[in-house]
Amino acid sequence: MAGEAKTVFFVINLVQDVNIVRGLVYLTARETEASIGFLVSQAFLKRDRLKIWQGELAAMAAATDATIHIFGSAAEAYAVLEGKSGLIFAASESNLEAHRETAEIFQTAPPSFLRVTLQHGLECIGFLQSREHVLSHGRNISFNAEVVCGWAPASALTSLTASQRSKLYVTGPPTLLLKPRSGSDLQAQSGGLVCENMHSVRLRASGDHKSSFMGIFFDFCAEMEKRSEMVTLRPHPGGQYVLKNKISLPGNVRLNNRPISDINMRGYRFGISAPSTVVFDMVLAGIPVGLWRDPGGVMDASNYDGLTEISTLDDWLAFERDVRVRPQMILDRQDRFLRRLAMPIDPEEVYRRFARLIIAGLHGLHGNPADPRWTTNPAAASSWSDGKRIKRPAALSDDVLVEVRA
Amino acid sequence: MTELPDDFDPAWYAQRYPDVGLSGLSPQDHYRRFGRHFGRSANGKGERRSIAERVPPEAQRSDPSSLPVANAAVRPVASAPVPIIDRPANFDPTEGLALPLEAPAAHGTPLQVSTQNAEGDPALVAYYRLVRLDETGLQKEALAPFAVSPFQSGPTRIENAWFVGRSRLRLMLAGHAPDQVGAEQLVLRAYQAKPSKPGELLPLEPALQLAPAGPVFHDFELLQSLMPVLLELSRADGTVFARALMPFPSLLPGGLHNAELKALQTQANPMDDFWSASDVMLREAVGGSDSAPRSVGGISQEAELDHPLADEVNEWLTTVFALEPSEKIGRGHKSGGFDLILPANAVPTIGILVSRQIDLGGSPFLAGPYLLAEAESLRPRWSIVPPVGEERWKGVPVVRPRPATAASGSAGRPAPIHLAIVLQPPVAIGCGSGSAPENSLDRPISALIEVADVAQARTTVRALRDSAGNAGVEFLFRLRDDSPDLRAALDGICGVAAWSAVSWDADLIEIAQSARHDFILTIGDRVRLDHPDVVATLMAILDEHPDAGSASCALLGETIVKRQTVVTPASGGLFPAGVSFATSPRLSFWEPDVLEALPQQTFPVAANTMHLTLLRKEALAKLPGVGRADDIRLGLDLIEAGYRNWCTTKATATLTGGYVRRDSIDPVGGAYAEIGRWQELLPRVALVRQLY
Repeated sequence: MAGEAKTVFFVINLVQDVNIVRGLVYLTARETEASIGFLVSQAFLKRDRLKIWQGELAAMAAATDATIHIFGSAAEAYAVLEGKSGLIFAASESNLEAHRETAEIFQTAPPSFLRVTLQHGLECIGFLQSREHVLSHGRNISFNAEVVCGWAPASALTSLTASQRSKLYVTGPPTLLLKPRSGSDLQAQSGGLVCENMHSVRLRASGDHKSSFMGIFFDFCAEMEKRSEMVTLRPHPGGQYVLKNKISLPGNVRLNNRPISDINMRGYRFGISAPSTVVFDMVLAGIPVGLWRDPGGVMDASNYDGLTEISTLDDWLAFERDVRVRPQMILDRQDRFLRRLAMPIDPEEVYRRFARLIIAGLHGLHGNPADPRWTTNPAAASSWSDGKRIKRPAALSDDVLVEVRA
Repeated sequence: MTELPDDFDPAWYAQRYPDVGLSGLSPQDHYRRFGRHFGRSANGKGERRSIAERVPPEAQRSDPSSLPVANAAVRPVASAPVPIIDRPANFDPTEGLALPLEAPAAHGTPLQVSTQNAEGDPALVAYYRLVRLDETGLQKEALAPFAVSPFQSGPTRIENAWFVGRSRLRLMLAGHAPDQVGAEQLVLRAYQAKPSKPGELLPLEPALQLAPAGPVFHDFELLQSLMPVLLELSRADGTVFARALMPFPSLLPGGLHNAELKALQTQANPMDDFWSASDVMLREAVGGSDSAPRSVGGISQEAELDHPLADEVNEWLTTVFALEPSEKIGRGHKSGGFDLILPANAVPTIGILVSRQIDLGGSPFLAGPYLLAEAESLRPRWSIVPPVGEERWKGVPVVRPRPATAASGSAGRPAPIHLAIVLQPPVAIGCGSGSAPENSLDRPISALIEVADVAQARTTVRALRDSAGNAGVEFLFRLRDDSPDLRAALDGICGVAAWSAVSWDADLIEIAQSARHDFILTIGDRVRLDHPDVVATLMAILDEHPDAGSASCALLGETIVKRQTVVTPASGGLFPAGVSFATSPRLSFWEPDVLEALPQQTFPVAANTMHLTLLRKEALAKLPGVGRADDIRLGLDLIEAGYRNWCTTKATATLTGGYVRRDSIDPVGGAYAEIGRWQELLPRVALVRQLY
């Protein structure tokens, strides 16, 4: 009913979820009277070992007067959702085992909620996959969400399976809702920004490319040190490879582990990364970007076609030289790359699309959540945790394991 | 333990944060474990307000009082110090809102469907014909050619539609593109009739004033989840702009027949598929003046459909398909030469109900194929094709001639469409033997045990002795390393001279020839028989099926990951998967998750693995030699010799140490490369396809 109290919940399961939903949380607070809630999985608390993202979440919750609900099972999340209505957003929901917590919430959520999942990166499982994604997770990805917010039309999202296409709503990247950080960064900036995503399937599915990347990175830093140049290394928020593996870094390397929204990318002279969404972020920020690809050329970088590819140390140094002497050549390539992508990249248009979705979703679902016809079977929710049923990953990979609780 | 703040207020904390109560933790423990990490207040002092409360009214960009009442939830706030971009200057949040019409008169009035008002309106004609309002009123020529309606393209396109709950239909419409805002605004209505009064289409509340910009979400509460739905767009002056018929709404996601649509999907977008499949089925359903009668003239169910929609199914069958109940669970009408016999918990597909083309090809009946869907969510999961002519396989829908038109013959062939959607029973883990006999073997067996670990072999021997009871077991050990130490250990397990050794790679057929008993169990020492009835269950299958050459059961792979025991469905028989074109066309095989696809079933497979299989010695005697691990070859040879390989999910055993299921094995070579042999094999085994 119009005017009925509604809630917009955001499911936080992976650490990168916090940054993906951040813009939507503030947009919801600004444009609607809906209550805001976070459904935070126990798994998230474990994953966020450095407690960086819990702090971010707390700040967001405090600023938007949101409630935080921690859940260990779908039944616990159901208890929070029961009797309410509105929207549920997830930044990572699919039939992959890694997304199980979120998928179970979506499966059991009362129908008084519209369930929405977000494409959380340029390359994203179920939306646009690299060959390494396919090798690791298969092609047949599906969502429990009723609406899937994609960055581009279905024709460009080559991994969105036919059965899921009617769920697509094209929004563009939600991170474009965030104000680009400008001015001085929270920590000193100089030289280039190198992003590592060593945990990514891309760096292991088609071979072990991690040592190759790190080897070249160290050599590059040594060359930069000869010119007294600093290099900033940014670990992937979820992977944290260099920290988890206690890798000692050269003296001229500065670590920047701040959330991406706290980083003024424009303050860096250039950026380098293996194929990852951060490449897209850096391109949008307008700094010259070098796309690292393994020297053997095995890694699939086809979704980034048109950007400046660098592989060997010589490539890195040549790229750094080009950044100094003819940066416009690289930036022109990046402009062409952006034009070729059939996605909304005007932040205002992204704002409009998300705002319309949220407002329409809050207004479009009618009925009293207390009506029994609106409730699913709570027993179904609790059955996930009673240990009597086999819990099955819908993922195709044979190496996905099924947990059985005593 | 972390100290609490001195001024921690547990009562306030529990009241302020409702998840504390749900967590089962005390407020103190909750604060220590979670609250402090989230920066939660310990006592309510200094609580921060929302950004809306912090933004003074003068900072708001538009006047809230100018908003329509229905938009009261929209909060036009801007310029708060938040980390997102400002609201676009020309963006009005109210422009995206479709407005449910509150006035009862706005919902529309009942539509009486008659010859007069239907003529010239293809949607009404289709409805009229579908529910057989008047067999003589409208001519029975073919329906008007298919035309793309406004519901299939443009701003009023239904991007997606699905059921939420049992009978609530949720629509997502595209809405206008921003540059089309200001285009003509339309009202969306939906109508549906009660089965008892199909000629009166009642408006479903609420009607909706469509939005000038999309997307639009709207819920209609249906009167009946299976009856046709008429959608209508009208202009502001009340004139009808367009109508479209959803003849079978249950094909939509969440609907009872969505599995059927999923299995038949041919188009890139499921919504396009819904409209095209609906059109095809509608035309078949209403037929033409020269059409044959619909094939199915009667339905019988082994038991009442145990599903919340059972009553609606019965009403729908009566109203739309004229399948009147003729007895408690049987129903029929005069036309149609075939009976559809359904297992309990199954509903007929729309495809079989509308079909006018069933042909048994001279055989006495057609069994399956059928679809398996999750009982709770109705999500389609599997398509199962049972073996042709297999009457003994319980739980399979069957089409057979009605008594008056009984035909006879023997050459079976599969039905061209799915006959029914079977709702999946809950899957139990560690179910032991389910309906297996609760006694031990009544005759001796020869057990061929692969020994990799002496301790595990000891467990296997003990389990087999428990299974055999007084019947006795001949122990034959395949030894990878035939050392004196190992022999001594086996002496300790079985007793001196109470076992025999065979070499690791010995031919199975030769072993069988020298075995003392008529049944040979191949078992690896990784297999754990969780229930002593498992072997007896396999023996019962061989007894029940005289043509059975082998019998096995579902295996669960068990490993320890991060100090937790995890179980994956492992082996449960090998099934034809597809055709490999690596060289000449060859069949490939796979191991689907049979616990899910074929729950509580005993089914014929192409082959059983050697991990746990009971073999009939007499059958093995007819085969050429076969190696230790050549399970597919053994299975196919048995089939060629006139036997079958059966597997069951009524019993399970555990395979310790994990198991990687074989997927699309590229395949046995030799004689089975011949395409002609597929024709012998495929009708004799179950075929399984995962829908997603």
